[in-house]
Amino acid sequence: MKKHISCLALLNLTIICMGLTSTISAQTEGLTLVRVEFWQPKESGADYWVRIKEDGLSGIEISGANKTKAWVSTASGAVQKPVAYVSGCKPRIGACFKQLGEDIEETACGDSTDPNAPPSANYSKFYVRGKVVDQGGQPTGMSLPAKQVVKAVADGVYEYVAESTTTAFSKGKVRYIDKFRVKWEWSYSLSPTATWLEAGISENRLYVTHKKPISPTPYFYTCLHLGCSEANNMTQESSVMSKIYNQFATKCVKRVDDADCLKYWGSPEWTRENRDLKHLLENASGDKYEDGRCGAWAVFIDSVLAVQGLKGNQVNAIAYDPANADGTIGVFDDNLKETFLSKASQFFNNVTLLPPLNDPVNPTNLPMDNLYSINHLPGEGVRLLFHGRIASPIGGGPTKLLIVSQFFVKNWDFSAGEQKFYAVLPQGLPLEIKAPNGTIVQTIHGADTGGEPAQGNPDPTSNFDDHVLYKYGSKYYDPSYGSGPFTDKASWVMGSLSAYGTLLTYVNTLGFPNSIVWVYQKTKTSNTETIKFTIK
Amino acid sequence: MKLKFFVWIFIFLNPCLTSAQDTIYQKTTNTFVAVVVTKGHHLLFMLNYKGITYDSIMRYDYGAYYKARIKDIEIANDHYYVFYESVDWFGFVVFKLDSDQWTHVMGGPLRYLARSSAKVEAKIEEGGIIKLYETEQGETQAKTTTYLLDFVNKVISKQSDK
Repeated sequence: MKKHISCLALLNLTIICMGLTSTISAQTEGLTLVRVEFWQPKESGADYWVRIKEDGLSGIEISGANKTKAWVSTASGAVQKPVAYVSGCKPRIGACFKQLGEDIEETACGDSTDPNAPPSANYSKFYVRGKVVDQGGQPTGMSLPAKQVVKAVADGVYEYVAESTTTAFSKGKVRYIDKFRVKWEWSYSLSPTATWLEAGISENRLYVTHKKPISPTPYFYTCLHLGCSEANNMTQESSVMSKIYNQFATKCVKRVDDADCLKYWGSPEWTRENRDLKHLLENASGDKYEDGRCGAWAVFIDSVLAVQGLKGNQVNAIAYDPANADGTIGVFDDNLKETFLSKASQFFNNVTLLPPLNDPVNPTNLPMDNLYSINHLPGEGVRLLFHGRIASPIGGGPTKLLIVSQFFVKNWDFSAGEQKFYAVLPQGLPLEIKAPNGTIVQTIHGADTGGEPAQGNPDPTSNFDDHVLYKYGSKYYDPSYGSGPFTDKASWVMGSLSAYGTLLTYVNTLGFPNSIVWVYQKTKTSNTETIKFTIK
Repeated sequence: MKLKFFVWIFIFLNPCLTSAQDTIYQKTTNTFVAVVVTKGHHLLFMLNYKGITYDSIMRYDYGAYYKARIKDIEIANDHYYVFYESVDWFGFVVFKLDSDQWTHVMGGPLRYLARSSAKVEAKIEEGGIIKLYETEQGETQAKTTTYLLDFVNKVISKQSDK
């Protein structure tokens, strides 16, 4: 009996010693994670790989055409990049390791092996597997299968050739995972009893879109982030749209990882030039960017939705008659034009401020605010410029005077009535209209009572020739103001506009331009057809 | 930013600016001049004494309302030409400096920008001609338009378009 006990003790000691030897061996010879790359999915390919580019003017692509270095170990810490897939696919992930204790940088990993290429025969003695874990380190159920890693060109460097995860992202479900963590482990064996030791944990942002993006081209990072973060866990298209627009409705939409609200007409002297989404999403210092017009905001929401595979349309809104112009502006018809010119002549005294019109409907001597009609300003006499142009109607015919219409976004005080002139100034502020000799011809008053709060701007510019909205499904959205959805055009008009009319410019005796509006009609339910919607 | 801050401080500490009646031209420091134009609203320029370009704010009495920025300042014929640009207009103002006192000479709108993306620049040429150079987005060829500025008659007339 004693002999048996002694033998068992010796056996145990031997096992313990073997274990110690194994552990020591692992600690001196193990693998350490250097780089993790995410690849486009194996089965669904490029259609399920969402490309990302930097916000703003640079537009530099963050993701690669088919793979992204999402996590790289450096001397100063890990460098991370976001990756994005379409729901329903299995992400494909590869990794590079170095032998424990080796002083090797990521560049030694070289180009990773194309997982679509025939398998390498240059296998090492190491096996690697990955487990996707949550923030508490608990497995999520998604993993990367264990397999033998191959030797890289450089000594002491090993590659886990990209492999699809064991499970797919849930079909249709939007995901935003701020820290997508993969716990990497290595072993000498695939045996069920093999010891697996940790090689490192990679961590990067991962996005899953609702459906395939409308276009395979790269999308601005903010467009991806905004859609996925707001619609996280949503599975229905209507919910995705609703959640995303809720963020626009806050009137404080931010770039990814930025604290400032993007603006609508935030700095008008700059906004004028900011016509594109790239300007709206540019974060250069100063007031010039992170700012856009209605067109840029419509493109913004269109792009956010497009990443999720949702498609709507931009809608151009103008007042009055588009048929007589070039289709992009609204103009007065002949009757309204004659009424307006007559009122203007009476009000501003046609002897001193504008010339007697040589034709009551199509005067050729009417000064206009386009480049070719401001001769003799700011000379004696003429001091009013009309908002118009000389052009041929669509479909041909003789040239004629076009008075370009405007509409006035809330809020204005037009209580003096319709067919009246008001200054584009704060409510009540007087604007004296003077003849060249200094005599006051008329005094009109400011009518702006504070704009309708819009994106990042409580009081934006509020008189326009046109406006760009967004139509999704059967409803209209106004992303510039974060308003809507509106069930129809009339709802948008009544909820957004104060009146229709046109613009004039009065050049004062010192030569400074002052804006004046002529209100033809205030908006009411009976005249909402004044606004024409055109699907872009 | 510091410049803007300075001017705001200046506005709030100088009630004479906001209660201005009709036209006042006032040199405010050795470095800046504030130009207050017409009662009810004013145009405020931050004008570097040496005529170098700086940002500007055009605003009315009741807070920020209408902004413009100085695009360029040129000195010609002993006059300072300040070209500004707002959302609506590219225009200019001409000042003269006599014995440390700024005098407004004339000004006017030159190009209605119509919220377009047009980029407009102006140069003063011999004989007081203002020449506009305009580039529309997407066009590589600059359009030029010249204006004759006559100090005596205070008339600008368009000379030619190319």
